[in-house]
Amino acid sequence: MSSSPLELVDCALSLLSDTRSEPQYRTVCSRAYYGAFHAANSFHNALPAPGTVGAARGRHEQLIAQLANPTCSKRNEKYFVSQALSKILGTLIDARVRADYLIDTDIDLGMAVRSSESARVIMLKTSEFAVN
Amino acid sequence: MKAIARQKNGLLFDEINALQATGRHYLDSTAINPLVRRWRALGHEIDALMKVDTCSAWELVGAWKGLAGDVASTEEAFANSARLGNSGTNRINWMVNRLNLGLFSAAQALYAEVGKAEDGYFTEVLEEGYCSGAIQQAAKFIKRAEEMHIKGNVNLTNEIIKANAILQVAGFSDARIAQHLDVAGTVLRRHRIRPDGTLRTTAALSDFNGVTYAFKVPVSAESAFDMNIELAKEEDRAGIDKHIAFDVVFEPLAS
Repeated sequence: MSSSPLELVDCALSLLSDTRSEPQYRTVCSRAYYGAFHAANSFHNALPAPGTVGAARGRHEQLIAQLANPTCSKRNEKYFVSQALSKILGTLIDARVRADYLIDTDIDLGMAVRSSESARVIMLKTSEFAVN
Repeated sequence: MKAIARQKNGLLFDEINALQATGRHYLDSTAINPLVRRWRALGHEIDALMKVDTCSAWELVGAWKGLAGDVASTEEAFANSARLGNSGTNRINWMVNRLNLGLFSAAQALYAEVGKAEDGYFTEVLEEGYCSGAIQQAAKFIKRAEEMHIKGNVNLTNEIIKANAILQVAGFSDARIAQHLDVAGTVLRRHRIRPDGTLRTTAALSDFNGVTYAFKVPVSAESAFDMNIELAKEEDRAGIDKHIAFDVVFEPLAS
């Protein structure tokens, strides 16, 4: 058995339609982030050259840094798509960290909606630019 | 029931705030609709105040022009007001309007003047200073306020200290943040969207350490993505060096 990034994002969207409690909002943020992370990672791996890691540490921070600092040509439209992905992944990991680690902070429906919507668009854009 | 006496300029500021609360875009002053009619009527009332209290009237003109996203006229009006003296609020409202117009470097310059703990507005303007990206400056003011036993909003103070710790380690200055935010301001003005930003500090050593300035934009998630591509291109043109410790993002309003 295995799961695809799309299945993780679909799972977040499906959970969202029936969420009633904060633990469920937290689960939506978490699934949405991981779906987006894997989709963005596949996008990055398919670039002509990996982006620059810089001072980033850990797998998640490094992917965000690499997407922000692509080394492909700026004439390649994926260059700026990569930077946009980095920006959005940054907001998703913030929500995920709050959802999974900071259980004394509030996670509301708005945050769950934003996370799932952002992850949905990351799926959409990474698929769109994967074939272009 | 007894009527409450209020200064005329206070009522005019209430109307400016009420007009601003009607939407997230700048008013299109060339349009013909009830909001613009209210905005024009307000202009006449402010004009009538010129002979009575010129300093406050110019301050009101600045805030009134700011509603329409008119950068040059807003700056000119507030500069006129400041030349005439201190109305008590004109420099603070100038800073607020610079934030509303996406002029973050300029807002930071005013925050450095008005945010001092010694000047009596420390608590009132701490959030604006934070929103201008003057994190290091705000942290210095907080330290001085603590020495003076002035207490501000605890959550906000903690957020600023947390953000400052990450940015200091990365060697990220307020000026560099402002340069980055000014670029976002340019993009937002192009879309005629009034900036509405929040700073988020993520401090999870194993996952991510960084400060993100997220601007809410009243568009779909797809359009927000396209605006982020536009922002990335604008940052590239402005020569912004990307660093993991700080980034700016456009985020759709939660539907």
